[in-house]
Amino acid sequence: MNGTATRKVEGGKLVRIDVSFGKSIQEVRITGDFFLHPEDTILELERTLSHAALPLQKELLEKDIQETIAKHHAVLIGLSAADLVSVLEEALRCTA
Amino acid sequence: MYRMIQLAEYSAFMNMALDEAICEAVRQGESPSTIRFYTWKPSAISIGYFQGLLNEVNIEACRQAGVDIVRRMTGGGAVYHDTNGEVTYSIIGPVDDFPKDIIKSYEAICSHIVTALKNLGINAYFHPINDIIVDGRKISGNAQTRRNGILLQHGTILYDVDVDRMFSLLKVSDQKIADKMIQSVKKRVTRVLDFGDISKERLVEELEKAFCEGREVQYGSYSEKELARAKELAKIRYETDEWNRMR
Repeated sequence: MNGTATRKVEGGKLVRIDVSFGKSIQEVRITGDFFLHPEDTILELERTLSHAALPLQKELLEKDIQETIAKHHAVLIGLSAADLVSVLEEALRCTA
Repeated sequence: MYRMIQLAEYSAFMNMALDEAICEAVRQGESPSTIRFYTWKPSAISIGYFQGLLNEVNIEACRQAGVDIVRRMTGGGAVYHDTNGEVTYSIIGPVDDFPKDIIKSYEAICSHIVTALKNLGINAYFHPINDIIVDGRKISGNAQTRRNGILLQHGTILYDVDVDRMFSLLKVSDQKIADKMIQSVKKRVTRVLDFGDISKERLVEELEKAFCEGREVQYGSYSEKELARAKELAKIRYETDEWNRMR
């Protein structure tokens, strides 16, 4: 199954998550007009979200995202770890 | 010392390639830190590094209009760069030249644009994260990357934006709300020409003066090596589907 969710988060930046999943998440793609430094950390964030267990354990996933950001000395601007979890949760509900 | 390169016109691909070539040259100590001003010919859409191309751009409309599409190496949103409608700047230097805090560095660099606009009688102010606003309307958007110890920030100053044309080239999710969105966007953006008969030359003159504040600046030009490397980067990266359709 494929799911998509788009949200304009507080501060005005937009994030979209596309997810393909079955019993587990297979692939996650994060797009939007936010900023992330360094930019290639996006692949690590997508990897972290794609490894999230289903059903989604939101607090644990938020912690995993924060750890990924810290591990790569990254800065996420216009978006938070909680936003990513919330939009992923919505994408898992909004399936095509 | 910063090198200032005066306004010049290039394609979208060369503009992005020049930014990257200069970043490389500054990092390697082959070029001084640089401030440059440029326009885009043909007109172009640039999308942010993290944006989905197909989500943001009406590719067929761009093709028919002869508008190029390029993905930037910076984040942020989709921008319509009208050949005659805006001025773009880039500033490239060691990250240590700028505040460590990213939003403070946006504010510091944007302060030059704010100064330039105020000197033209336009009451602009910085609005975090990365915008410059006049009367609640956006007149400048900016985007930054920090790679290998070098900071690149580039941004546009809207001189004479055509919102209807912009919306014909960007994706609108629901055609029924397109008119409402265009009216809404018209209320959310403004342009230099809304504040008087100000020539683009005068705008650039004030921008150059403002960017000189607080730094030693000498006028210069692109080196042969930068231009050659930019041509190479345009060809191997910025013109390619692999880059532009990356996400």
